[in-house]
Amino acid sequence: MSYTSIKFLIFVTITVLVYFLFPKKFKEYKWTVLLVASYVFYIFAGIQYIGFILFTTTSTFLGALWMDKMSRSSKNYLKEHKGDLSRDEKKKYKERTKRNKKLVLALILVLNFGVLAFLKYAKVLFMGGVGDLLVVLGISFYTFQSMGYLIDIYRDTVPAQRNYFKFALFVSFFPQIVQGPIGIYSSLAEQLYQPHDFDYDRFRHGFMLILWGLVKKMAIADNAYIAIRSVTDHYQAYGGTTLLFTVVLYAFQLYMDFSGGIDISRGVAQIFGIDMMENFRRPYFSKDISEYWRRWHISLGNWFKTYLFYPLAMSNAFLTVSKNIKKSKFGSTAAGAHIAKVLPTSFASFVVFFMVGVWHGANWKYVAFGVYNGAIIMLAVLMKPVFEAILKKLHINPDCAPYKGFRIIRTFILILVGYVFDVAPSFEESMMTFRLIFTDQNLKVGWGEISELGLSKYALIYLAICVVFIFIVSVIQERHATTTIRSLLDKKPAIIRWGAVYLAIMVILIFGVYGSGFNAADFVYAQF
Amino acid sequence: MKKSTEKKTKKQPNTKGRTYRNRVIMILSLVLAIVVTTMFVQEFILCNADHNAERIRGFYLEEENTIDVVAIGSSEVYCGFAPGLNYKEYGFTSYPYATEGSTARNFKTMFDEVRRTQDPKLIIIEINGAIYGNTNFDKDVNLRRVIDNIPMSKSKSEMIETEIEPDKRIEYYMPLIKYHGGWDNMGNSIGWSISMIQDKLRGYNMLKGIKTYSTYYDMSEKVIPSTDRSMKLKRPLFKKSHEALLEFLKYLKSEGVSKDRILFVRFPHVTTERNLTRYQRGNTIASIIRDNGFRFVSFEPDDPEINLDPEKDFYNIEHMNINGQQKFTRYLGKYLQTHYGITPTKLTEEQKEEWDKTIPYYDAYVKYCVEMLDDDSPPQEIGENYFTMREIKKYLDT
Repeated sequence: MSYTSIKFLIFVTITVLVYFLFPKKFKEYKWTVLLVASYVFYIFAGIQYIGFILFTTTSTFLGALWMDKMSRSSKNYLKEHKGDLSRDEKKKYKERTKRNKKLVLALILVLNFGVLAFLKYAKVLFMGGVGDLLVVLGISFYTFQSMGYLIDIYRDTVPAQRNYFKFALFVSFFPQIVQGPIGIYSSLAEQLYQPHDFDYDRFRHGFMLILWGLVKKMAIADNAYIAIRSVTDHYQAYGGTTLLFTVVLYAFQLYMDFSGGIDISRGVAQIFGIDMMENFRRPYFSKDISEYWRRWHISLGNWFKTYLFYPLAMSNAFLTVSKNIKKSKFGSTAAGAHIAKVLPTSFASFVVFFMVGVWHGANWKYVAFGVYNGAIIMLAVLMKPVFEAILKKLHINPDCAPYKGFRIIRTFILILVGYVFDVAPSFEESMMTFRLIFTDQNLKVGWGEISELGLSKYALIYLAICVVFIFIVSVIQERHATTTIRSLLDKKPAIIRWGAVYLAIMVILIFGVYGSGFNAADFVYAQF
Repeated sequence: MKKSTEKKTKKQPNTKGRTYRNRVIMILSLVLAIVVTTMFVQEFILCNADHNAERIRGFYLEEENTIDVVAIGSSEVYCGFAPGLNYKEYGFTSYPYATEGSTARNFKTMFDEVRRTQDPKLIIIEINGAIYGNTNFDKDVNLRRVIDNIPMSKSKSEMIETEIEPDKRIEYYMPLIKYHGGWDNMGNSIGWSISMIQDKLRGYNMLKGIKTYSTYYDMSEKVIPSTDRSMKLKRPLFKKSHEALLEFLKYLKSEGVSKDRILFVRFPHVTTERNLTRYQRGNTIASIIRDNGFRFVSFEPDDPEINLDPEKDFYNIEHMNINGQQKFTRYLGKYLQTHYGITPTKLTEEQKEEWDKTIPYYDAYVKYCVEMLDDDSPPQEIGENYFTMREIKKYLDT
């Protein structure tokens, strides 16, 4: 059941009606409507997937309870024996508890990430010997979300959920199961369990967000995908100009596709009174790659930052390396001191992005994608003093608008380089793409090829208009970062507010890609 | 202070009520605006507008029970059967209820639709749809040209439910799902869209669905005379055609359709080696129809009375051009009068005025087509397309 299908629309409508018409007498059980809906949604996607999500739910739930029990027993024991134990004994006892919790955590992490890794990489690792494996809907997203919760329990930052079904809802909440955003237990769970009453403004805003997501996905991304698919289906047949055009188009398509899907998810959740975290903040306005990753797929970035980056950067091994550099002769120089200071974080960034690349799929091109991003970020941090010195020498004010513009364009080009790995079917073909982009530029040939990618001249003009429109909307959003376009529209006369809704629906109906005449793309990130 | 609070409390329900009312009004207005726009776009803009759409929809604009003769079939029909000329020469009203590539599986729906909206003295069925091969039956487009242009009715619904796979049915009830992707290719259809809007506003169409190409058959193949021995042979029909034809004949019998009110025909074609098998399948169809007790007349054999010249009266071996259209319509009209006693229905003044208008338009159409035929310009599709009609109108007073 795709988020862009009529079935989903009907499904959401029924769920909304049941949720808000739920008897007030039993309002504390309102969340069960969402749980049932989530599992119905999941079963619609394929009954064969259900075992995987139940395994993650059950193992995480039990693991969390087990660790929570350890923590509470430990606390009680220490409380009961407050006077009996020496400081060392207390410390040792705490360490033993921590070690035991760590063992449980490791066991559950290995089990769950093991399943994920097996499904993602087994086919490649065993040379295709295990046959076609299941692409389990949303497994990455719910695994990350559940494991985040488990780590939070390990860290004692959230209380363990004692109701299995409530926890099952946190893992399976249907608007986010396909492609995120990856929710954090502390901010999402309570919202899911609260009995929300119908709120007209919330409904309206949620509905508008869904519409906006549908416009981005169906009327923009899927049109661009027609051309991208033509190229990727016959990748070797195209010259450098067409490949460059495809990479640029892909940047636009991917953003519209992914952020459109997230808007639909957030919009649906908002109707139920649940605020899911923002997953995009105009990423192509980033002034460096680090900022880009803080604006793109924010929930994944947060996850890696909280659960991988900080533990790595603050790990004994990394800190020891840093200390050793500081103590060395090199460490006494300005460069050495800088490197000693930033090495743990920059190397941790590299590892994080390597993992992000690996997470994207079992293909060397994704590893290259991760290494490329990690390397850029690491170099940017390590070379920061050099860049600052160059700016000073050239008398460039880093805060001036032209320089900011230059940084945005430069970052966008760096992003495009990364996308080459994504667009090309393999690592070898991504290398070929780089070669052709630099050695095979011919506008006439390129235009000839582009005009045969399945998009008419008018469709290309339409996409160009969409780019301009999205740019204008993004500028407005950027200038009003604390609010939303919907809130801005609220201040406008009714005719403009309702006109915008009318326009969005008509754009979807006329320009949207749907029906059997098209092979509409699935959400790109659903495959990860 | 207390008073003012009380006042506010009293006013609240009214404000709340007004807010609800305004919301309901806005939501209903939005829904209405979307429905109206969608229906308009679906009906006239993104609807695969072409001569088929203009013709079939034009049929439904005719007032109930005002058409004397309706001809059902495929492209032969609207190329060779001119209602304007029938009305001018013989006074009876007629209409070609036909679409390009229409197969025999459309016969029942088309027949039902004609009977649902009109009470013709005679329904002519051109049998080309039963000559087609199986592949023509598998082409979605041959079905869509009919179905998409029929207003919602029992027979339309029946056809969708029986012929279309369940997951695709929604696209037949809501053709916008199918055709919305054609927004970037509207250059070719905009003339037909405008014409359909004009027809709708006017309440009828001017040329009654006829269409031709402004060219001559190039005589690149040897024409086989009807006296040739091979023309007497029969050839089996393709499975799907055969089944569809038998099913239709069975339906006619089950409905108790009077044999005097239905006539199966074969319109004139040029027969060459290439389409000889089609001619022979026509012979088989003739036998099947007659065996089932219905009347069949073939106008294919060279008939000096029709006097069709393959070189001058056809634009290809399957279709007559404007010259052939005039000759054959005159012949067929007279044939219908003589053999079926077709006499004009009494029309109201308004209806008569409408049909009277078709005469000068048909004459102008003929003049334009004839001029285009002898012109050096590339062959052109000529029908009631807005842009073509602008040219045709120039011949109205000449």
